Amino acid sequence: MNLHAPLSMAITVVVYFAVVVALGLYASRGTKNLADYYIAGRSAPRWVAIISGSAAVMSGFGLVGLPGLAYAYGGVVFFLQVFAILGFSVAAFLVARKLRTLGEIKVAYTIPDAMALRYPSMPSVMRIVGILGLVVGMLGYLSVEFQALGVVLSSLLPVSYWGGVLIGTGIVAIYTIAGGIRAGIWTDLFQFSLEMLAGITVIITVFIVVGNPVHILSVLAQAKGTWAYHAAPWWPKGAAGLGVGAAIAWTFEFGLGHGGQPQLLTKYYVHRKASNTRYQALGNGITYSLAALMIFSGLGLAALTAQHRAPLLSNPDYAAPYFFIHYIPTWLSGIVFTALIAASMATVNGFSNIASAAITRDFMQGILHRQLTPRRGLMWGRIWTLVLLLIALWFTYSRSSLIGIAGTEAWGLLAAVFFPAVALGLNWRRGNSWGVVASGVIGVVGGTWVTVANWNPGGFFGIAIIMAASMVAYVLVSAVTRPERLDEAVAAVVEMGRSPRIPGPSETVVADPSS
Amino acid sequence: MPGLTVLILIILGWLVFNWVPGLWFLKHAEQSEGVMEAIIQRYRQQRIDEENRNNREEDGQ
Repeated sequence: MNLHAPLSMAITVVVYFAVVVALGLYASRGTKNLADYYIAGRSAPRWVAIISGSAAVMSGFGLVGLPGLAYAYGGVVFFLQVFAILGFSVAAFLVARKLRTLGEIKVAYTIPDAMALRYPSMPSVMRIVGILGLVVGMLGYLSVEFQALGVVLSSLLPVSYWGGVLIGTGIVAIYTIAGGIRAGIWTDLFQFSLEMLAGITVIITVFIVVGNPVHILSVLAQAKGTWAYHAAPWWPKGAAGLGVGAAIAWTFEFGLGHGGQPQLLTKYYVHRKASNTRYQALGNGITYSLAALMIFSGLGLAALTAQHRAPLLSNPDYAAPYFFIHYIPTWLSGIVFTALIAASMATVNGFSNIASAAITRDFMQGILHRQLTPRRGLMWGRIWTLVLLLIALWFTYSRSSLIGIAGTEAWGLLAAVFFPAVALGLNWRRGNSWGVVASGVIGVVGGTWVTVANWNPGGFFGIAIIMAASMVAYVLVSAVTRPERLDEAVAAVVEMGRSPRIPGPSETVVADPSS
Repeated sequence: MPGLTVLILIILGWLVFNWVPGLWFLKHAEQSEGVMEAIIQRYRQQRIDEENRNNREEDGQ
């Protein structure tokens, strides 16, 4: 759907592509081994690491998909966005310091690495659960990002939806394959700065063009048809929209789910100093909030459409691009429009990195015990990154739902697999590998089924039920099976924060290799 | 002044969902930093030794 953008915007986007690729290739010069490729050699400055975490979460799902949902369904979407801000603090409290400390005292580059260390009785099984969760979740998440790239680029450039998908993917593939996460975190800094600028620009423009939020809601409340539901906290029962079930499901999924998002958790590893994670909650919340103001583009456009000041869009996902092209001054719109592309590209980079790490490090090295030289390890990392991007492209063909809904499902699936294993496991000593197996099976199998079958009982997102079920299964199965015998150092990390001192060697039991 | 009311609500919401837990986490992290640093000091050598061993094995190939 070409939205007839001015030529200057298209030129700005082309320049942006060149800057991102150059920045990525420049940053990739320091990538010499797998530690550089996957955790940037644990050398990222505080705010670079924090902003990179915000960029990993604020994807095309948030920047393109959520304005689309706000345009289609209105205020109910705020349940997702507001609780997503709180979720950063929950994840920081449960995971950030412990995971970074684990990365300091053990060789841990990936989330499956952390799982294998935390559950030493079945390290290979833990890696398999982690790899399956990452690859299945990645396919869902990347297809969302590819959809967003297709929507954004086809609204701007004289290309089809699939042309947009391929151009965007090709560019992000160049710097991801070349530089891994080191390239990613520096391009994230640049890209997320654009996203924050875009959020601020949108809220100012909405105030000028449409009015303050109360005016927007009163316009929608007085409008005819289903537009009135946009002003309510959720759609009434019986209306074909998002009701109270969706609001509750989002509150749960996004209030807790960050602790199970590997694209965010991996960024905790890259901090130069473990103590820098103390700013994680505050920093992620502030930066994410600014970019999240983008949601007002969808709500503002809904009010304009209800007033017959804008045409009705056949595909709500085009709400944010439409708003940018038609309401933001041309001199600024090109720059902030690139934020829509940046959001997807940053997430594609982060996800393809961690999924390729899962296969290279956790499967080839951890399970098959293949010894890889730094050069061969890098080569395999790059090959798997390319292969995974191609598989995700193919998977995108089969999707047809709105970006925001598809993103909700992918987010929930990842949280169902990783929240119990990582967020609960790093804080509850009793959690064990059987609990991870139970929650992992529910997350991967149940999450896939819910996504494919589109199971949303009573308007409640089925994936939130899967997430809750996986947590319950982890706790119950762990409680009735043998406790894990932890390595002394790992036990000290799990107990960190609960005890004012480090448990001594006599208080812990070294893992029994025969168990 | 409904606009001002909404602005106040937004700022309060931001305080409750971002600044309150964020600052609480910052304080909590500062208080327990001694334990974290002690853990790192005690066990970091394990990781360095293992990484050096891995690098030697890889170089030997």
